[in-house]
Amino acid sequence: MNDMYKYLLVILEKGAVPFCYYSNPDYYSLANPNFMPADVLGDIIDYAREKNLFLNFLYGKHQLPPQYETLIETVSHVKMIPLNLSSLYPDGVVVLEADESELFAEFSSDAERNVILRATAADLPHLSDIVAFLRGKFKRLNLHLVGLKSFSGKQLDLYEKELKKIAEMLSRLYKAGEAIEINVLSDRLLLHQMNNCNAGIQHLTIGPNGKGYICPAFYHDNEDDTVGDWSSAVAGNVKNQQLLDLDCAPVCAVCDAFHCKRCVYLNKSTTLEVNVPSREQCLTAHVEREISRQLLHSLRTIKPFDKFIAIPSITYNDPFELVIQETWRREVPAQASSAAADDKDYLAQIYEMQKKILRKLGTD
Amino acid sequence: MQGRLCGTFIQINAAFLEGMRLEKFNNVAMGEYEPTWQSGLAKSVTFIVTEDCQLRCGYCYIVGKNNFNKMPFAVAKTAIDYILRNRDLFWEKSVVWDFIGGEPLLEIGLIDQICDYIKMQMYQMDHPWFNSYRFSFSTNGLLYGDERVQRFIRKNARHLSISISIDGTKQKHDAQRVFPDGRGSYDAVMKNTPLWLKQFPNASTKATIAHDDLPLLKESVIHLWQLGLKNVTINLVNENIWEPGDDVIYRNQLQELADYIIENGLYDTHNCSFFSKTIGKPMDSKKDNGNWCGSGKMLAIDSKGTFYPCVRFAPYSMQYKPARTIGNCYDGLDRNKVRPFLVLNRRMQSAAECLDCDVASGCAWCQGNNYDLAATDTIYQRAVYTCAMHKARVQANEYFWTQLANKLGQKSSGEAGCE
Repeated sequence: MNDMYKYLLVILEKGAVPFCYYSNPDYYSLANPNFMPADVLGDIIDYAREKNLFLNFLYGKHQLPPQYETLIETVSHVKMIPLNLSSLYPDGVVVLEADESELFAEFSSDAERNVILRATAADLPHLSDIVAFLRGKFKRLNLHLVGLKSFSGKQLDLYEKELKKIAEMLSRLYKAGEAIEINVLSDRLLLHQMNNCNAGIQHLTIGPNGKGYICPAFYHDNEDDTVGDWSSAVAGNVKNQQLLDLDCAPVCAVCDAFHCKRCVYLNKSTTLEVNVPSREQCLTAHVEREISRQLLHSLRTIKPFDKFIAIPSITYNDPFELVIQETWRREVPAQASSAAADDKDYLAQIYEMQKKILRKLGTD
Repeated sequence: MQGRLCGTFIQINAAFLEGMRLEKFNNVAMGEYEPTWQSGLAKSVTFIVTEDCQLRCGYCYIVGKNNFNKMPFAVAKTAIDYILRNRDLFWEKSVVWDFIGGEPLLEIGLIDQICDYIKMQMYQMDHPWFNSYRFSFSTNGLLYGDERVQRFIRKNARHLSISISIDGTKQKHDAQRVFPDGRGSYDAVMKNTPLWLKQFPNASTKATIAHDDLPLLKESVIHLWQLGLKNVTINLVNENIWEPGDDVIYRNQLQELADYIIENGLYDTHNCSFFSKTIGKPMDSKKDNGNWCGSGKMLAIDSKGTFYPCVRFAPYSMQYKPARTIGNCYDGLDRNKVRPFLVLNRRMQSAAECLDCDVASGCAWCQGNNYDLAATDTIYQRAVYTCAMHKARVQANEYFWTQLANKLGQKSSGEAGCE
């Protein structure tokens, strides 16, 4: 048993609701539920009970057979459910597509609920309206940008603009004593160290096929991208598992966007390495960090925010720049020490060019 | 010898290396290497002009040789245009345009056309590289005397580096560097070697050592020196081919070579990359955290115009993994796929045994080989198949520098501590 795991995510059917950055085409298209076999579910539940592991169940749009319901209720768990099951499971965490928010707001009256909102690039122009519309229907809202890996600079600008409006709303609510949370803004206010997703480190995912995955995104993207049989995976037999840890993430290790999910699936699908984020993921996290900083600054005279540690102002929006600059400080002088005298005059040029490269890499 | 293998050998050796080699052997040529052109700060752009070769060398990492992937000129032209027009991405003061295969000289006509286009474009664009470029080749030497090759050499002589791969003695060379029918290529290469050394008197060769020919190491290095190649660069095969006991043969061969060097006073005039003044000391995980390999800072381009961080990530080099691309000449560099290479450091790809190793310095790795052999699709896992061989090399270096110190009348602190 890998003692690091705190919980397991169990995908109950192939068409389970996607709840984070990733997509699951089967969520929309599968008529047949393709549930996880009941005996596999039973084994997982027995294991979790024995090992004192918490379980998160990912539901699809189909109602589970009674036998499954009975099994699930025997263990400590959280249900993550699509909108159509939200009445059936009032304690479930509802996952909303942005265009479902209006319908959800109509019938929901629970202000203590945890809600996940998935917004695409097309939703960005009215993101603040959507969040405002959901006000009073959640205690904590987790916002996830779907398709983040292909967001353009203009879309990030739009996100920043909308996030500022949401921050203004939060500021007003906090000043009025209303303590709701919106992950991309409120989390960073409280954090003093990285609080990432930690997929594959603190939790593992089990697909309906009984295989282990780093997270649900890996399963839905490619069923073959497994870390092995679930029982072997949860026992700690995950190859190169150390690369999922912050200590092996060269960019993230120097970053203070502590709220960032540091999504290893996004990393893998954009840079081909689980431990190196894409520029888009870093830029997005730093937009959120900066607006969180401004939000906290606006609340600095209000309790309890007056006790919070200020978020420092920084000059970069992608910590990759910090790592590269450090590499250059270390490597270029070493090479230059053996360079001919006439080479040394252009080291200054290299440093200048370095700034230009970073700017170039920052443009689309 | 007993003393050198005692428990305190490693720590004393580290101090010995730091304190003695760099200072007391300051005037010894062995272990001093000519700085690479432009101190290694030039951009390296590699064209994979063909994936075909006349030879089938036993240790070759190119497992996908074929006679159908040849670079069309239009692809090379598109890549050159992209590189020259994006000065802010390819900002270096100088450039090495490298041509590789398979055997690049099989496509000398295409190479000539590409080089003409490069020169013309650099001139027309008033590109800074026009005044600071080289064309570079690593060849098996079989076509070196061909008239078209010689015409190209005459045309580009002032900007040319050509290295012919010779492994050593005929026995050693022919053990690995063979034609498809199994015949050795030594005699054919030797026909062209005098002309090569006449045209490039300071040329160096790149030899490779594999398991079977380890016992031929010493005589091969001496043979290469006798051919007139004063700087001999030799690499061990990086792949997982080494067997128990190879490290002992390797160390013995190097120590015999060390004796030969000292007896014949060659330490002031000749060089062999196995001997180094800085190898075999512990490395600080913060200060010495750079990556060994330059992949990602280089650019390799295949016949389809696909970009790779190094030729070792191209499809024909991959034994187990999919090729790893970083863009193409039509859409440009994929900045996200380059990021892992640029932030890769020693600590994050090395196992604890490597980080804590007392003789870590000088232990090399190939990023492409690491990737191909890694347990997952990552460049962040260092292969350690040459570990015992590196340690044997460190011991041989200790032997060499100690013997040399004795000859030169200096006393080694390493010996004093161990005996």
